[in-house]
Amino acid sequence: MAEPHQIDQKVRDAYWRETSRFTWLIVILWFISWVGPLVLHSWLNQIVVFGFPLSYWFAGQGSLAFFIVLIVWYAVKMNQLDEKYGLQEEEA
Amino acid sequence: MSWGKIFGIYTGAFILFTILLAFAEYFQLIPNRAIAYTYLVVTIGVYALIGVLSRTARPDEYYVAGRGVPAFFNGMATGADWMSAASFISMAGALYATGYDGLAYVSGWTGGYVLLAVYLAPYLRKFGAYTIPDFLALRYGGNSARVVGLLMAIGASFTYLIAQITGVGIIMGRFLGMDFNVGAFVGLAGILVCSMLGGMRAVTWTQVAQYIILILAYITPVAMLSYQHFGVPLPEFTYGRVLQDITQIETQLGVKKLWVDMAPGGMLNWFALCFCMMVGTAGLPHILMRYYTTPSVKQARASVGWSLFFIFLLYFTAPAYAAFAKWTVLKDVIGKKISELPQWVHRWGDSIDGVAQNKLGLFDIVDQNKDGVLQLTDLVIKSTDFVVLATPEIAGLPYVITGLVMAGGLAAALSTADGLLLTISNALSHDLYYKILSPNASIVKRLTAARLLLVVAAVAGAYVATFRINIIVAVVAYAFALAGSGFFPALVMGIFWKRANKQGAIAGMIAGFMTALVLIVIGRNWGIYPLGVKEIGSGLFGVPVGFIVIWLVSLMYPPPDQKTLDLVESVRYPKGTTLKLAGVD
Repeated sequence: MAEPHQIDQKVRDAYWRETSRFTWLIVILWFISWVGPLVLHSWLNQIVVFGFPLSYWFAGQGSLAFFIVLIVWYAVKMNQLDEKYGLQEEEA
Repeated sequence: MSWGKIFGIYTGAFILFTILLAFAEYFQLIPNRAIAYTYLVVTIGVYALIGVLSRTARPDEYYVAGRGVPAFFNGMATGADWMSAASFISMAGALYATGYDGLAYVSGWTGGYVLLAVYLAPYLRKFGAYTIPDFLALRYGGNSARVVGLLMAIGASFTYLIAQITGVGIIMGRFLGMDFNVGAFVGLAGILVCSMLGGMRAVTWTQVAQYIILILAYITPVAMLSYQHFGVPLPEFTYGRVLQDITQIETQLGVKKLWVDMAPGGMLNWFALCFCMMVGTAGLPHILMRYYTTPSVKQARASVGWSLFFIFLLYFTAPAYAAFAKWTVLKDVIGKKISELPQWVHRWGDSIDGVAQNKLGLFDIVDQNKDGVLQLTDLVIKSTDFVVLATPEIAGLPYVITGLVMAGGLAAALSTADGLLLTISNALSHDLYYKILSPNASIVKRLTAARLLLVVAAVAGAYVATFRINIIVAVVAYAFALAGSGFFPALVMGIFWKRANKQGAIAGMIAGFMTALVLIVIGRNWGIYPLGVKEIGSGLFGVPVGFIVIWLVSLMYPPPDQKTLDLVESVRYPKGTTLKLAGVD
């Protein structure tokens, strides 16, 4: 079984570059998803959808759902990245 | 039989049991107190049974459940591990009291899982050790990092544990009329039977069982309330209309700060609190530890998603709880004659117009201008916990549902206590005893030590809890600031920055932790708030201090050796085994 440090350095670097970039993307989206509704509070709360003032809805429910989407997206994309670079786990 | 089938049958049996109790109550075969005791005995009995069935003599089973917990069930277990007495009983009440401002907890206690998913969980799984101090020791060369890690793990987990035992004592008191100290020690026994014989393996499957009870108990009452008013048992979607009504009534009453709006100038504190809860989530060892138990990196990634999904089910409902309670109070209580208040007010009130109702009551009704009508200021709330506790009666549901809520609150407190206790005793038995004091100890000796220390930590926790030092939410919130500031920077830098070294990590962990600790102490005792940020959000300063100190101090000392660099490399890629490389069993 090949250990990671025996794999071509170029492959590893490329994988890690792509992983880091994707991690940043997720973290930036995460930050916007909860800070955005907070900063825009007084404006967003005047918009009412199905009775929900929007800033209130985002802070209490909307951003939560978005967090799940981010995590699922991350898991799916990372599994694809593993395969792309041949760095996935060997099945036991 | 598959795990899915077992827990499917278990869920069905629990619902059937609740229905049978409801019939018994309807035909007046069983008094209320007996219903509460039946729930107590049956649920703790089930947890104990799982605990005994999962007993083990193998260290990998004891410490990481043999790394055989599928993503879905690890998600459920993490949900129960995560959602404490504070989440279950107090959070909706905090929202009731503060409206928009309290939502910082809801966002904060869920958003942290994104950080956990991308920065820590898959890498810790790949690393594959037993404890968080294990990671610190291997990454940052030696036992000094381990000692700092284990001290912080114990510090954060112990404060949190006391809060859970306090929660158990309060619940037992309210529903069973038990003395607080007796309640706390009964709860303690419940925790010990689950975790002592089977360690992580037993705690995992008990937590799955506890999750199922707590989520059913949380959603049922408010779903019924929504059904009664709107014909749809989905309070999460119907409470928009409730919010509109609240705003309208508040406007009529001339309330200045509307419930759905932020307190003026509250933005920075909202941000600090939310940030602190998020980073704390990703820095609490009892949560991080759960991701050691999945079979693979892939499953660890999926498991964070399941964890947040199961947590989401409760947190997504909490704002609805608060809104329905607020609405009921504004509509059915405020402006009514004090002689004609609804029944639930008598049931949960302490005194009404000077007449004592219930010695553990959660609010007083004081007719200040003696007009016989209840004004907004006449309702003096002592504990907003009534939001969750009284909802079954507000909805006019039978007492069985109140008993169910008690069982849910207990499940939430016990499951979190289980995880915390295991973190504390593992830090003592694995990191301190085995890795530092007695590296040649046999497996039998190690596991005996683990169990002994588990009992010691549990008794110590219960003993401290009997002093009744603090309210639940405050104590728990401090643990977040401390764990986030102490652990998070060192763990993330350990994976994402190869140049981070021993000196940097130790200095950074101590600096971050101490920054948060000092701010908590001066904020709490003397009301000193830098930039106006309350002590509960002190992680806003502690976390960046942690990162900056690691960075600066690491650059002042030589880079880590080749072995450590290989270790970091190996943690970053799912392929291969890490620990063989590091020469660890």
